Amino acid sequence: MFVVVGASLIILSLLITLFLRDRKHEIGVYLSLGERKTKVVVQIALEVVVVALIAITLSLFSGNILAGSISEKMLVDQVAAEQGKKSNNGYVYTELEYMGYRTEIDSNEVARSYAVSLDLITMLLFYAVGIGTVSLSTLMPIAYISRLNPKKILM
Amino acid sequence: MSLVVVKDINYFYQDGDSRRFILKDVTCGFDRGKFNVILGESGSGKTTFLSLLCALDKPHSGQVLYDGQDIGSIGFEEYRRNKVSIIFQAYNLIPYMTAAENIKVAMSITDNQLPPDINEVAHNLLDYIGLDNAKADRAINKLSGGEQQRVAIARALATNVDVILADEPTGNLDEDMENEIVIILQKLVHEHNKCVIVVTHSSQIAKHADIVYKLRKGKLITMDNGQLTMDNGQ
Repeated sequence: MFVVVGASLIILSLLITLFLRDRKHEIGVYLSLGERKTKVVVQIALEVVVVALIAITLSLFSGNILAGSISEKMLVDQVAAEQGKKSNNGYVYTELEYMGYRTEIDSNEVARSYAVSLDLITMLLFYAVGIGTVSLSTLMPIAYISRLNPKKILM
Repeated sequence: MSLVVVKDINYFYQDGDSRRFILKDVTCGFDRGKFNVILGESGSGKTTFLSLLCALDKPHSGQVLYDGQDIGSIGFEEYRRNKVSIIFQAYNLIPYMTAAENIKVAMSITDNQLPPDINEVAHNLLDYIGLDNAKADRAINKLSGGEQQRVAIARALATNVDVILADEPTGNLDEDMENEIVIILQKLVHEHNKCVIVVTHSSQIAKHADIVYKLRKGKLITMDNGQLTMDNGQ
């Protein structure tokens, strides 16, 4: 998870800073009109967080549905594959047992481990990590805005 | 007392070990209800001087005073927000917004209370400077240069400040449009009692001014009927 968060931080920081460069003139106009730099920074941060909230919500629920469908398909395929390995007494061997290994894990436990579920704790963790990562990634763009000189942009 | 005063302003660029002075010991006052023009050739420091007046830059020494108070103590952001307004040569409007929206954004940035009929106020302002409702609701990038400059002037008027600074406001416009813009600037002075300070290289604009200065070799010199009179407006 830390690798994913770290990579997201770097990529998002660079992307947001890149987008801000396109809006440099607009920000320069606001600053020349006397807009407070803190207000500009808050506006940019809010824009990023709102977009992130929408994106996280969409990915959470669509991802849950998609993952559920894929895991179900994988289970069906697995079960179908094991149907062909019946012994003389009608016992269905697992793949490992068929290869000669003995295991205490039964197929019901395997099926349970494939099951995708989304409880409240997972969802909250998802949002917390997502919003936290996005918020941290606004630090570099904030530094960029703080250094903007409206005179150099506009005159 | 003058509304805007510059006292012993020095501004230079460091060139290795030496300093190249753009402004040297400049002292001057600008009054309410006057149309002030500062003439100067390219590279004479006109834009630099204006940037100091509008707190987009700081002098290396000296003070800029607004109504007797140093603009540093007012706060540069607050000074730009509530005391002065700038009209740029390149208009510097927000291109994806309409003319009316540009006016409303400027009004929302000031610390003044927004009028409940802000949309109507914006349209009235644009109508005042010669832009009808159809053009007021058009995106900025669909307006001509002259129309965009009118919007920029309306934006300056919308903030209800006493000092309006203009950096080559007619630099990108033809002669006819230049005359129209000058007439509008004169209206701001005589009908609204604003202190208007225009920096330009155009002597045509200077002909309409109440007071003309010339910026030469870092010094600001008052001109009277085309003749140089005093150093630094004193």
